[in-house]
Amino acid sequence: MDRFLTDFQKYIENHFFYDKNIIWFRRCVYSLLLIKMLFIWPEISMFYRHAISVRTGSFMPHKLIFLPIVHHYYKLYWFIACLILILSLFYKKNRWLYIAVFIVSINYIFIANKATNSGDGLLNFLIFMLIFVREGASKYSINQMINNALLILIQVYFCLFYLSNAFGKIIKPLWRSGDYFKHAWNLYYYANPSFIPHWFFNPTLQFITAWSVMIFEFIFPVLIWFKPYKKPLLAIGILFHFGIAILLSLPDFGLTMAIVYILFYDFKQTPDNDLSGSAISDSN
Amino acid sequence: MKRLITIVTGLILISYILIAGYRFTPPFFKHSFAGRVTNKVNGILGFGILFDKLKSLTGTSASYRFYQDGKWEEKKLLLEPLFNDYRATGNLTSLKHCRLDSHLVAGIHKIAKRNGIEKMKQSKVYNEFIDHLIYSHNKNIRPDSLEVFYYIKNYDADTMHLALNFKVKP
Repeated sequence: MDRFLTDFQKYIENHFFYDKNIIWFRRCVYSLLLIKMLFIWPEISMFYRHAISVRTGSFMPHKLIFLPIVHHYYKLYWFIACLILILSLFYKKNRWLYIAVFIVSINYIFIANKATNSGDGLLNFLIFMLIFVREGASKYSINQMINNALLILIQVYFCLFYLSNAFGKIIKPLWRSGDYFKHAWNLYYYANPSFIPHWFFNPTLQFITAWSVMIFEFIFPVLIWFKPYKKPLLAIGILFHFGIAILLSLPDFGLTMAIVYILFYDFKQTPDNDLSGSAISDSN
Repeated sequence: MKRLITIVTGLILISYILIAGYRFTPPFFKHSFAGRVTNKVNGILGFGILFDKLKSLTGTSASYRFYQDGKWEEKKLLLEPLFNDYRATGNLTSLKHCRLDSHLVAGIHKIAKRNGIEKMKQSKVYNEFIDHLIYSHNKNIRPDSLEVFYYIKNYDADTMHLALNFKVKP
């Protein structure tokens, strides 16, 4: 057991992430939340009105927005929330700001209550994890190890998400036969006929597409950890998620998944972001 | 400290595997306390399988009409205009609004199917739906009466059948 823990500890310490990965990952996650909040702004009255009918306020930070006193100032609250997000794009290493962003993210989920999907849940989870991630962690430090542990957890979460989806699909006859797409391409308010090419309605292509999706979801979590497969898998994955975003009208979900790819991408090493010297070798 | 981080990371990884595998656990686990907690966490974390249930592939349509100024107004589609606006302009707000309306109308249909229209009218979801319909689709003007139609698509026959219809004086 002790040997296993030592090996696992070494793995966490050596599986370092460049600052560039962390900085871009954070920027993209916060930017996506900001975009979603700005989009909701024109209808904020409708969403807020609906949200307060199912939520009650309290002095807990994430429920302040639902306090009766805020009922007349919710637009101002939303404006300040957007400002917090803009600030978080420029200010680094400010944990209080990251906590504020997480509270804003929960507010967003509450406000978009019943209009959310798993993309919102996933984004909220990423924002929570990012509270504890710190850019510019010094070599051999505890901070660097915490960064590694949290980002590995996000990567594993992402891989498990694919695996559970692949298993969930393969046990369904609808997916194995490809008939899923026969229904999906006719699904109102999801399938976007503006972008679906006519040849996607062909049963053979539906069969091939269904199996391609399942095979991709099976092999991604296994092969992404090996360098030679990284770039092709990331390229296919980005196409896959943009496809979901456009064809199945799940733009926020597709973009959230695509953003996680930043953590898997190996940025070109530069003296600024090269932390390889901090890796603890096996001989240590 | 580093050993502690390792142990906590390991424990979280194990719980991830349990949470991710929740859907494949036997029914007795799903009904147990641990199963219910796992399901809750599963939902918060956003673990889920997209469109794996036939129900999620059901095509639906809803329309409504108001009785005001002494006459029934023309029937209007509830969801299509919002989704079409998203398709035409990429307006995410319309898509979110469409999802909200779709969720609310599907919610009242579920209750009506299970417990009947009278029980549905006493439910919270129904009040939310009517309140939202008046606020968002009638400029918050309370009509004398309103009627709702909810259709479900039959894929084999390529037709829509009326699954729920009711009139109410709000």
